[in-house]
Amino acid sequence: MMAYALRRLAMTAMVVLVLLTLLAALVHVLPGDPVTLMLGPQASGDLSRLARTEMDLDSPVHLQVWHFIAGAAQGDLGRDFLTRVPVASLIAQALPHTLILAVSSLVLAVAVAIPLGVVSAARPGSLLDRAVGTVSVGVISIPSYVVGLSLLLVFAVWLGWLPALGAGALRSPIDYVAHLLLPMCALALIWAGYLARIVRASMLEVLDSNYIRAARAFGVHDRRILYQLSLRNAIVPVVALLGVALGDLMGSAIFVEVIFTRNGLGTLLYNAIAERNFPVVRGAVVVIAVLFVVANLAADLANRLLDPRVRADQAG
Amino acid sequence: MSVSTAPPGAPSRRRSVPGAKVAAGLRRVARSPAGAFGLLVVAALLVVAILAPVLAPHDYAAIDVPRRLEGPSSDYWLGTDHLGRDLLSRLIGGVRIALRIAVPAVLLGLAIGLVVGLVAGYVGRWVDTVAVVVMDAIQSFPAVILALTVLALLGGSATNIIVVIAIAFVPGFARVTRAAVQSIKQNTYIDAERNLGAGTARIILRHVLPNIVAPLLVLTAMDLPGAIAIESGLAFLGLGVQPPTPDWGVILSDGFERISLSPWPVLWTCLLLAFVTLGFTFLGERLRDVLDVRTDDSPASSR
Repeated sequence: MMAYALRRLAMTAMVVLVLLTLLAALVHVLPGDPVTLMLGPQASGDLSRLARTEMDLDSPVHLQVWHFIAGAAQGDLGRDFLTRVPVASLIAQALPHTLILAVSSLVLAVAVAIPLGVVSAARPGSLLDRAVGTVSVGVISIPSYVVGLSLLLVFAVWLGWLPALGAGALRSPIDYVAHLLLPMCALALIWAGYLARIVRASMLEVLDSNYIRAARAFGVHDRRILYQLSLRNAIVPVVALLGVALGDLMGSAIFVEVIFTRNGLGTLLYNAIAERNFPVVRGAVVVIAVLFVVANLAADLANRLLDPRVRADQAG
Repeated sequence: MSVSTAPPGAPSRRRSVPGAKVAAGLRRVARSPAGAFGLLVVAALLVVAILAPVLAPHDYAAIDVPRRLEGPSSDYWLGTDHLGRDLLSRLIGGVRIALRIAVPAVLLGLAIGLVVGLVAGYVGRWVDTVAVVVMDAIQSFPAVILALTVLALLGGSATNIIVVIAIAFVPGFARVTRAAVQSIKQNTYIDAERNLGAGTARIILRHVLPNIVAPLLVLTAMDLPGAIAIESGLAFLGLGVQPPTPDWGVILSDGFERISLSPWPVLWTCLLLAFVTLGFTFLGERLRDVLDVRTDDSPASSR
């Protein structure tokens, strides 16, 4: 386990390094000049020169990459190009909102997916099973902004049940939750469908195993077989996916945050792109990508802790 | 070639005609309701893309300001947008843009992924390790974020958008190809062929490619709705093709800004996008069942 964790950690560190290098070098790999893009072609020579120094564009490329990585390691992601606020503090303000949104969506998705998956697996081929199957394939493919806009249209514009705009204040929890509901549902839907399928597939596999057959033979009650004996093993693949899911939700959050005008990493990134604020774009992307990679790592390790079989499988 | 000339008992060497095979395959796909729905949507989309100028009742750029943000009427079947342009005609025009970006993007991703997967799987050793790390790094960006970052620096021309979306799909294709190459390479008949003097090209063409056509086909069908979703999503965030092109994402974002004045632009576009993505996904799912391949279809792999 320790050796595996270390190997996995080394791999993750490598991926993060490659990511940071790519992001630092991106400006040079791509055609066009970021300073001209930001300031426009009429910018004075002084101003462009200042911008170039500010963004560390005059050092040799390998030094730029080094400066960026060394800075990022110390939590320094550069400064906002327009307001000169440190990018790290902008992100620190935005990140909690995005994390709350992503984590709560994930919890909702899991809470919906497990019963659906179990019920489908209990009677494979039944009408309910086929309905759940079709709907879950359906929701996987629909873009999150389509779901978000539809929810906005129905529940905020037509019915007026829930507030459409903003994230609410963290100080008044009820208000915050009311603002969270629609974006949370919009994000959760896609993963609820997918996870339900995963739960169903792994439940079917477990239900077919000998220990379940033995339990049935002993007359153990159906509900106990489904929810206690089988689910504990069937849940393992879901845990392995939670990391990917969390990362993906952070990415889709940009649409949902823009649609519901929530504060968060997504809106930060969106606004930075609109004003071509390259340091902020880069910082936000680094944080999203690193969170994604780390979430994956955590889910992988948790998966091995939970399931001795995976450990034995990959021990060699 | 006629079958009757073959001596009785000899195995028939007649090859099945590819067209007939495809037709039979399509019939099998259409046998399930989901598959039939998928085929129908994709076929309708192609017909609309080809006949767009004939089918559109109005010019998609024709402005009729006095009648802006109207609901459905006999003049404007689906209503009008904030400049009084016909929504139906704009949505029809958008089909072409969606396909013109999504199809080349997925094909480009397929081509690059195929090459990367073949090289990584065939050469192995450090080349393989490097390929895997780079693919992991690409996949550690949610596709939309990757696209946003690059487009923020490049500006959104059609070519840039195609390339950016393609990059997001490369790892998926590379993975499938690499896995297939690795498993085929282990067979003794490959060693036998090589000992008989077969070159790398022959082994790839005769043994590897035929084995990965099915999974790559399924992956292509599954990735197309993803590409359409990313393209419209980028346009929704203001990083798409420039107006007045009737991109679905642009119609959505224009409608979104005025959603309390008129729900119609958002409503129709959402419905259309849902139908289109559902169609491709159901088709892909059905193709996978018919062709009997396993793929990774987590939402993260296409978004």
